Amino acid sequence: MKRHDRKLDSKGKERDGIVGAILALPDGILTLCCFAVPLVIIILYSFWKIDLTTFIVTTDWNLGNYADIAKSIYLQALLRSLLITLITVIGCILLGLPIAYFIASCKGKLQLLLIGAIVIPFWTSFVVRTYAWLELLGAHGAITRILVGFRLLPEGTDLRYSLTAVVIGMIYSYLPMMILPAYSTFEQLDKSLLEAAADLGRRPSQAFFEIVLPSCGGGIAAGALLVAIPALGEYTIPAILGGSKTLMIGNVIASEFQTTGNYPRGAALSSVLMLAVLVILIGKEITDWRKR
Amino acid sequence: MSLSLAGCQIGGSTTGAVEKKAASDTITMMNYPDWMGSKEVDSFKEKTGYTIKQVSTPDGGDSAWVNIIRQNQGSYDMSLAGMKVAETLKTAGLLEDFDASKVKNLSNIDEKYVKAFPWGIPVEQGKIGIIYNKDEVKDPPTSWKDLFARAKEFSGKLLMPSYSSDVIDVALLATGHDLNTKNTADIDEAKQAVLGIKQYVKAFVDSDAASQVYDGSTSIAVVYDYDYASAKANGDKVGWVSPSEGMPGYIDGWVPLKGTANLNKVYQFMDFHLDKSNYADFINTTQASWLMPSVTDSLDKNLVDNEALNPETAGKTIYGTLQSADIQQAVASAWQEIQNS
Repeated sequence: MKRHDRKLDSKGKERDGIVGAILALPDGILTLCCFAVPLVIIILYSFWKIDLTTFIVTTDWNLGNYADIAKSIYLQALLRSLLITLITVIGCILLGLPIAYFIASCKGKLQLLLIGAIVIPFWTSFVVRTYAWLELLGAHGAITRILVGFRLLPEGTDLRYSLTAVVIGMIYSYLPMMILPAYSTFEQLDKSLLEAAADLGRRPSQAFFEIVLPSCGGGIAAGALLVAIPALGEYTIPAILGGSKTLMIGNVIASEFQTTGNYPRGAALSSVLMLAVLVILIGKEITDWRKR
Repeated sequence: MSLSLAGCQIGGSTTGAVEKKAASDTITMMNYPDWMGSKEVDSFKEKTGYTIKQVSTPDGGDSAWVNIIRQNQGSYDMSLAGMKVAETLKTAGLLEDFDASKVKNLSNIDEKYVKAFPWGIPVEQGKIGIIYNKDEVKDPPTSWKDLFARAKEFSGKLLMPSYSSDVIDVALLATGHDLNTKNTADIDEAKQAVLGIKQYVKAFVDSDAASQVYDGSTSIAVVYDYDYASAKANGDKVGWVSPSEGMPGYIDGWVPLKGTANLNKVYQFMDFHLDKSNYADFINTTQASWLMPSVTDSLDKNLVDNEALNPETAGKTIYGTLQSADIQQAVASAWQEIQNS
């Protein structure tokens, strides 16, 4: 009887496996066509050459595009991108965690309302929102006027077209990527631990740093990665808010593809950027594995 | 090997046979959105029965433009194209040979523009000059050299364009070089000139410069003539300077594309476009700088009175031509260095 049950169980698992494979097929095909194949094309292009007068690519295998990346201009842009990304991640953590914690501590409709307040602005186009910041950061813009009003800036300051504007724009744009995963982990936190901490005389701030943060490290790290990965390749925000005076690696790649039309060099730069992201992800995986 | 992959032709052949689409009563044209006379398409259909289907030009630079046409060979009958794009398309074997005898109304266009644009019909032009806020700048610079020399005076209130060739073209003229130089050392000198004033430049922008000069948050800007037109439409606070060395400019035209099965219809449409009343409608709609002197009296007064758009008053325009790969790469690298510094 038991043997018969095991047979049935085995058949059921087999059937589930087949159904699962069929259900996963469309997703697999989509991933292959829209992700893996373009990725391979990008990598192939990076080893080819282009005639910049006719824009014809020839399959003339070479490493010249990668050798060009060793030029200081590209390395400087890459380092600047890493630095701005780091500042953005720190800014998002400092602003995002208290907001996420507050939302998680709210109940019912208020909580829904707050999540809506985070998400709804993102129904508007990213470029439109970035241009809106140009108005807010101008000499007569609301943000600048408030800062001048509090005497944090001298009269007549124009915050547009500066590194400050780029950082503000990036933190604003990527903040929800930090808030939402952090909120999700804060929500799952066992609240009795906080009650126990309070019973043992810990202040709320102490409980936050000693219990909440260590328990929710995974969500925070996920949020940091969700911010860092797109931020590293960002090019719209520096172009609009930086007034093309802050060159990030994303701007270089966009310039190679769109302005110069040097697809192989753009592909080589993209491949290096992907490699940098991959190194970050592998680093996180190794750290997680060691913890386990 | 010759295959189309992600917008680029891979392989060496530029003269391979292009599959022609079947002839139809629809002419497909790649064009800027709404870059057409207000009644032109309907009037042409009424007269000939042919429909004009307009497909928007791609974002990005000339390369994107050329690659879209290459990728869709045979799909478009004609395209709007600047001089550099037209020359690139010709070099890449993507243009039909233009037969000027099929477009009788081409004689309405000033001959110098016809000569400058041999790949099709020239339709309008643009140029880069200087605009300034009249309240802020009492003594505007009169040349590119003057602007660069006095950049410190406009520190933090000077805007430049954000397109690589525009910035380098202006700097080439400011340093006394030919806009169409074939010497990379000239590009390097132009780059150094821009680097020298970068600390005074508020930003390199592709839009919004005219409105900032108008509201006084910027004193002076290097812009296209149509930007000045938009500022002037709001009032008389903004002035225009045609720098004495000349203004970097371009001519946009309509070109017949290789693979079209509607070549005669394309010529018919080109001829229709250059009919004086249709052309005046086109210029009044687009507010562009015109190339047909005989329509001046039929144009809106604000256009005729605009010293930047009116070809009679606009000053010397120097047209950029297609450069060698070395020069293009030098310009791109110079621009990246300027942004990176």
